[in-house]
Amino acid sequence: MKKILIIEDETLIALSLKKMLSKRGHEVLTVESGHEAIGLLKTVHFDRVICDLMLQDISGFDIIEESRAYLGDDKIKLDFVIMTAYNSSQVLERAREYGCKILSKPFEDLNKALSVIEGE
Amino acid sequence: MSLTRSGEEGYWKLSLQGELVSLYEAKKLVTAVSYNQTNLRFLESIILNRINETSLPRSIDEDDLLPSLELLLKEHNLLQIGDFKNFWQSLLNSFSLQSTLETYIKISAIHGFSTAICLIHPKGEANAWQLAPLSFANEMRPVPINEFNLLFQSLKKTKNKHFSSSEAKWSWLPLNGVFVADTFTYKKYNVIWINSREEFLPLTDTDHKRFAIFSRIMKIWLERLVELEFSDIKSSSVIWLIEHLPFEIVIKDSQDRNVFSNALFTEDNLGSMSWINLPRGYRLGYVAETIADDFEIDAFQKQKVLLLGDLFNTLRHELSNPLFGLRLSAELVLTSVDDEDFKLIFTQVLSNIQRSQNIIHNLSKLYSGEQTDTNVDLLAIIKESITLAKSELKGLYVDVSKIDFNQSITVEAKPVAVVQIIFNLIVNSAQAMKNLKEKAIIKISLELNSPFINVVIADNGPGLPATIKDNLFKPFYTTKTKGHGLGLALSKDLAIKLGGDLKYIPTEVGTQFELSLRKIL
Repeated sequence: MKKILIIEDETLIALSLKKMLSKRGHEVLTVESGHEAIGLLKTVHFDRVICDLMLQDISGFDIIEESRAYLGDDKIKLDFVIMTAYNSSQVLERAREYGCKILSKPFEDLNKALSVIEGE
Repeated sequence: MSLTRSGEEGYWKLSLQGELVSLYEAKKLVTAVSYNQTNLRFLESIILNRINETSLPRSIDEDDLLPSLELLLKEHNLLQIGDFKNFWQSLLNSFSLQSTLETYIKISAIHGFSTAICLIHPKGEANAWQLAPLSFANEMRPVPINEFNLLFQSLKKTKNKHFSSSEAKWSWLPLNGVFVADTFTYKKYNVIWINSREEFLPLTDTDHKRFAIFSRIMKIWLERLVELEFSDIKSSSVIWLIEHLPFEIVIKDSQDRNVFSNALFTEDNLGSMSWINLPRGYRLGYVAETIADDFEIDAFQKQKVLLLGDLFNTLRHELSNPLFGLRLSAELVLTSVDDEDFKLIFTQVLSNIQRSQNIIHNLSKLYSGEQTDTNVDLLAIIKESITLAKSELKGLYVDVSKIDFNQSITVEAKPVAVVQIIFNLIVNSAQAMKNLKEKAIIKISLELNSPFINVVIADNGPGLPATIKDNLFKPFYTTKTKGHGLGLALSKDLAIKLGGDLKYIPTEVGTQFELSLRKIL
């Protein structure tokens, strides 16, 4: 049972993932706005953070940059998962810099993706 | 698309999505098209609507001004009322600054001047501009700003605005004889309005009175027309295009009514028109002559074809997220319902979503060139194309037969590309035969023509008029009112890229296309 934050502005994706993960026994919170996510991460502890790269207000990278200062690079590496539809080499390279797992949208294998999210 | 003024170099540029085409070069290639005056009224209403939309400065209340002007002119015996009404009507009919000036000087009976020019300075800009009637010069010329200001200030100071071009300081003006001028200060422009007469006799009182009265009229009209001339609004480029197209055009509104045409269109040439979309649901149809330097159409088409690659990428990105969301939620529902019917339904939902994702995936692969050539079983490919086109083929009987050989046929090609081409041809045929009285048949046959194998797709539909033949594979050429006419151009392009070709085969009945592919022995 993990406390999972999903930062995703596509409502249907967020709601579906939330339900799927809840069914697997986790406590899930979803936010649409990057700024809201940054605020939340400062005050609440999450076991897992799933972050979409392309949000309405800021990018997922901005959230990571803001968070690593007080969460530490290790936490980012271990517990953050970047979700993205973009497979440009620049984006992937930057994502890899942080050392965290990267999930490509759409998921090819749903169960595998959920496992990655859960951190098993 | 917009027509903008290039401040430094002093000429106008027609700009299409960032690609600049010099108007001067363009004008060398085109000849002015003569137009029908009555049809222009329709065009005027489009343009005026456009002006309203872009909220240009409104004129002073014309309804008040008109009667008092009429009275004034009558009192001074300067004009017959009938003549004035004609003048006013002509002004209403003109839609560009230059044509207005042209109208003005043509009515020489009422004002006695041979030339009228406008000097315009957009406030804050480094250049001023000079505009003469169409018959004098069809370009706007730059005017040194200091000369403009000097004249402007002099005019404002003097009461008697009467000058002679023999005076040295006005020699830069392209006028001969005497001239009289007025200054107008608008919100964004300073304008000098000059009328001249090619003599050196002094102007009479009557001349001055007449000028003063008409000046009041022109002050109103010029404000609107200067704004129109100088702003980037699209109607000015539409006007320019219409005035300068070297071929026949028709403009239809969103209800498909003809609002403007510069030629007589018969059923024959109407069938072979190409269409460009204009703002607000209007369409411009043209019958292009075969002009080698047909820059207008090439520019449009080139732009659109360039956009294709971007379009597919955008499409892919934009659709990707929604489809993903749909898939996730469908999966969720599928695992949460017990009802067998719902399970079945949502299995179908997932399958449809997968199909949609595949289409986008394959389309974008086509354009990224990722797909490698493989050995393709041609018959299987044809069957797949037919399956894809199923919804378009309702009620049609499609016969797939092969001729002359019975071994399996393998070709070297990108499977998706071949599917796309054949699919496109089938769909075209099907659409053309929607209203066919007899049984509609699309026959797909194979002919060996070593080292090629030809896939021949023939229908028994209405066929294509001979005039269309040359334009068939041009991008965005279409005889359909819907659709973008892209299919054939793309198909031919793909066929060539595959090392083959796509040809139209003229037949007596129906339509026939031939796709050649390289056979693998």
